[in-house]
Amino acid sequence: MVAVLSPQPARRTLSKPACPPVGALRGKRVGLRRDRFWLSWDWITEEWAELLKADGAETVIWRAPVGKGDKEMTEGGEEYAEFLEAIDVAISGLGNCGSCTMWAIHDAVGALDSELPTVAVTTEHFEGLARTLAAQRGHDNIRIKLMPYPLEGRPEDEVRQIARENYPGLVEALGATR
Amino acid sequence: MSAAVSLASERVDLSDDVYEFSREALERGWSDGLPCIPPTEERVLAHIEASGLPADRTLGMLYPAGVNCTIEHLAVNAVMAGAPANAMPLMAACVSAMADPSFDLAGINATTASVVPAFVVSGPVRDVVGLPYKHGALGGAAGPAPAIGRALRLVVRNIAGQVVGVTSESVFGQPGRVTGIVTSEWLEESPWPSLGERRGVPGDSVTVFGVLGTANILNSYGSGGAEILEVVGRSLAYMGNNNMDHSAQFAHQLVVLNPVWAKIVAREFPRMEDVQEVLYQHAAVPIESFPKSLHRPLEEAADIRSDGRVYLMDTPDDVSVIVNGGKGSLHGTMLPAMSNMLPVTRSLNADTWQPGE
Repeated sequence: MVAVLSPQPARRTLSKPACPPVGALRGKRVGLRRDRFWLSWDWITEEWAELLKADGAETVIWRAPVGKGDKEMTEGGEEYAEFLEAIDVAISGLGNCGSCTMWAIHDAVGALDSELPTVAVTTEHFEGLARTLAAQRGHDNIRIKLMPYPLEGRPEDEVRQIARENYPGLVEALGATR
Repeated sequence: MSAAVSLASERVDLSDDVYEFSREALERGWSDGLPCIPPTEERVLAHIEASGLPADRTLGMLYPAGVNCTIEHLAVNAVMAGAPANAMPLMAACVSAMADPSFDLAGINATTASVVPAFVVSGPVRDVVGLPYKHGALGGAAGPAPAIGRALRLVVRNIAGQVVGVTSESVFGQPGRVTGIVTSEWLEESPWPSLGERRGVPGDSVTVFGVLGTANILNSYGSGGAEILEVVGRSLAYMGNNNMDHSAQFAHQLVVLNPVWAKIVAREFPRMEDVQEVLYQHAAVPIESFPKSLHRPLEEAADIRSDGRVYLMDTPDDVSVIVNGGKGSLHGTMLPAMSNMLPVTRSLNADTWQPGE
C-alpha cells in the first residue's frame, strides 16, 4: 500500500433554503428569461405571458445575450442584474440541451440568490442535469417545471397548445394562486 | 522546496501496483479507464516544483463544479496521467486559458455537442517539452502530447467535474475527450508569424480552442493558393457546422495547413489577414441550399446577408490558421468550432497573467 493524493478536491455541501412560494399572482411582476436557442421556448413564453397577464400579473420578457468577449459578457451580467431588480418572480428557461440547461440554471440560481421566487423550466430529458447543476450551487431543492421532450420538430400550433396545457403546472411549480 | 510544501489534498492508502491502483482509480471515479500512475506525495511535489509556482497558486475557476484549480490539483492529475514534470508550466497556462470566461468551459462541459478543448502551442517550449509538429502533428506521433492532453482531460473530469451522463450531456463525445488534442506550430516552415504573436502574445504561449473534432480536407488538384483556400473555406461551411445553426451567435474556426500548402498560399497571400478574408468569403452557403423550414429561423436570427448567403463567420477574424504536419501535402485539416465561445491565448509566463487569470 502507498499513500496517494486524491485527484479530486473535497466537494462543498452547500444547501441553501428553498425559495418561497409566489402566492397570489395578481400584481406580481413575472420575468421570463429566454435565450437564443429555442423557437419553441419563444412560443411557450409568449403563451405563458398572455396567461399570466390574464391572471393579473405583469410580465417582462428578457433574452439573455451571448457575450462575445469580456466587455459583452460584463454588459450581459449587468443587464441580467437590472432584469432581476425589475421583477418579483423569475421563470428561467429553457433547459433543452446541455449548454442551454447550464445557462438556464445559472440564471435561475442568480435569481434564487437574489431571493426571488424562481422556477427553472427544462424538458424531461434534461431534468437530471438541471438538478445536478443547481445542487452544485447549493440549490438542491430548486423548483423545476418539466416540459415534454422533445419539443423541437413539432409544429408551432402544437407547441403553443402544449404551453397552454402546461400553464396550470407552471402555476403549481411557482407555488402561486390565481 | 519539497520539504517546506504542505499539500492540501486528501490522502488515501491504495495499492502501489499500477494495475490495482488503476482499477481503484476507475472505481472511485478518478480515472478515464486507462492505466494510472499512483500520485504519491513525492511524485506530486516534483511536478509542483517543476511548475515554478506555489502549490496553492490558483489557475482559475473551473465549471460546472465551480472549483478554483490550483497547481497542486493540476500536479496530482498530471502524475496520474503520466504527463512529464517539465510540461507543468505549459499545462498551468492551459488550465488558466480554459478558465477564462470567454472560453465558456461551463457550456463546453455540459453541452450535447462533442466539443473538447484543443491546445495549440507556440514558441520554443515546443522542443523543450517535445510536442509534435511534423508528421502526425494532431495525433499519432510518439511523445508526451497524449499524456499532457490526458492530464488536462483528468483536470476537467476531476476538478471541473465533467462526468459523462451526469454533468455532460454530450451525445457522442469524441476520442479527443480521452487524450486531449495538443499540437504545436511548425513555425520554421510557416510563412506567417506564430499564432500566439498574431494574438498579441509573443514567445511561448498556448491558445485553446473549443473544437468538435478534426476533419480532413483533401485537394489533390490544387493549382494555386486561391484554389486551396476556396476548397478549405467551402469545406468549413458544411451545413451542419454548429455556427450554421440559427441559435449560434458566433464561433471561431481552426484550420491547419500543411507546410507545402502554406508556401503555395503565401505566394498569393503573404498577409495572414488576406488568407482569413478569402476563407471568410468562401465559407458561406446560399440560403436556397437550406431546407425550407430553416429559412425563417435563419432570417429571424439575421443570419442571411444581403447577397442571399449564410456566412459561417461574423468576420474574417473568426478563423485561425496554423501550419504543421508532414510534407506529403495533399491534406489540410479543419477543426470546426463549438458556438458561442472564443479562443483564449496565455503566455507560459504566469507573471504576465492578469489578476483572476
